[in-house]
Amino acid sequence: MASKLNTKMILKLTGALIALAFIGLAFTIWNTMREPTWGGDFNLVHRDQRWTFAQHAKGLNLLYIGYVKCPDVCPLSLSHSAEAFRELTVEEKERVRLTFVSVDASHDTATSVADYASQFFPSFVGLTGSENEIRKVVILFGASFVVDTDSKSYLGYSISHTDRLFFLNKKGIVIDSIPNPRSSADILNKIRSHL
Amino acid sequence: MKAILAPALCLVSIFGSAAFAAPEAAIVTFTNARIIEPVKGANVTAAYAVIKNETGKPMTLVISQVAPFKAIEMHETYEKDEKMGMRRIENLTVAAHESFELKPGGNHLMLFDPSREVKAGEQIEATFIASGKTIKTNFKVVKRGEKMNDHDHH
Repeated sequence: MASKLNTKMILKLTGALIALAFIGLAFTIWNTMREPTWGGDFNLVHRDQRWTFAQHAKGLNLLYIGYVKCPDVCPLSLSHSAEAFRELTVEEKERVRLTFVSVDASHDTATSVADYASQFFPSFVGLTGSENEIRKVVILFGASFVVDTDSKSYLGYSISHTDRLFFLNKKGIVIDSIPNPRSSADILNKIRSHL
Repeated sequence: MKAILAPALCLVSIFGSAAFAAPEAAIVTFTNARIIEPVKGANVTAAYAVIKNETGKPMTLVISQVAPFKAIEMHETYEKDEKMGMRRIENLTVAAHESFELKPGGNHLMLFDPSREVKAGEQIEATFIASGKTIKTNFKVVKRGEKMNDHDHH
């Protein structure tokens, strides 16, 4: 009798262990295959005040990372985004915001970034911060930038940076993105699909 | 033929060796030459144009001056490691009878620190050195996204 019970117990334990092993294997495969989760809350400076994403988040949030003295890439992306925003209804505009984060901590002031962003569209928010704060935000979104010096250039430097428009939910998590955003129609469609 | 050449001759000035000779044919023409109205907060802006080499030889073009900007550079846009960047180039070579477009997202002129406010609608003179000759042409200041007439030649 005791021997039968022991055998049943051993079988049950073995079954449970095999099931756990399968669950573990399945989780490992899923975790390896799934897209990484980027984004989250962050804290920078807007004009003369600290600006926390969570406190200002809309239902849908767009994020672009660049710098004010970028003469071509950033203005293109921001102007196409602005064109898309102009097509939105008043009600849609209430539910979405674009945030521009400058990676040029050495040259872009909080005022210049804010002025710059808002000229493309009044509700665009331009943010900056210390070099360390900016790096944290850039890493948070899986973006990157490199400052290249050029002593022969008038500015003396240029910054190559990720050219991607991120779409964030209310928690700042990246739910979608457009690389090289050069079509206002694509941006508009993407905004509407997430509103 | 005269009717075709006349507008180009009026719009492009060439200051070669024969200062008082009859006007030479245009060696280079500019179409859609435009400067993007500078954005407040930034001290830089970009300029674009389609440049046509009207000669039978390759032409090396250098930007010399665009008053009232303190500095002007030719830049090329590149993509590396999923990042977009821009770098200064010394000059631009346009093949014989070919065109080269300075365009958004591609090669462009980068203009720094205007000494006065530059407003959409005004014409600004740009000076190039094309294979050793001084070429002056006008760029129209436009708001970004503003469409220009395709036949706006200089």
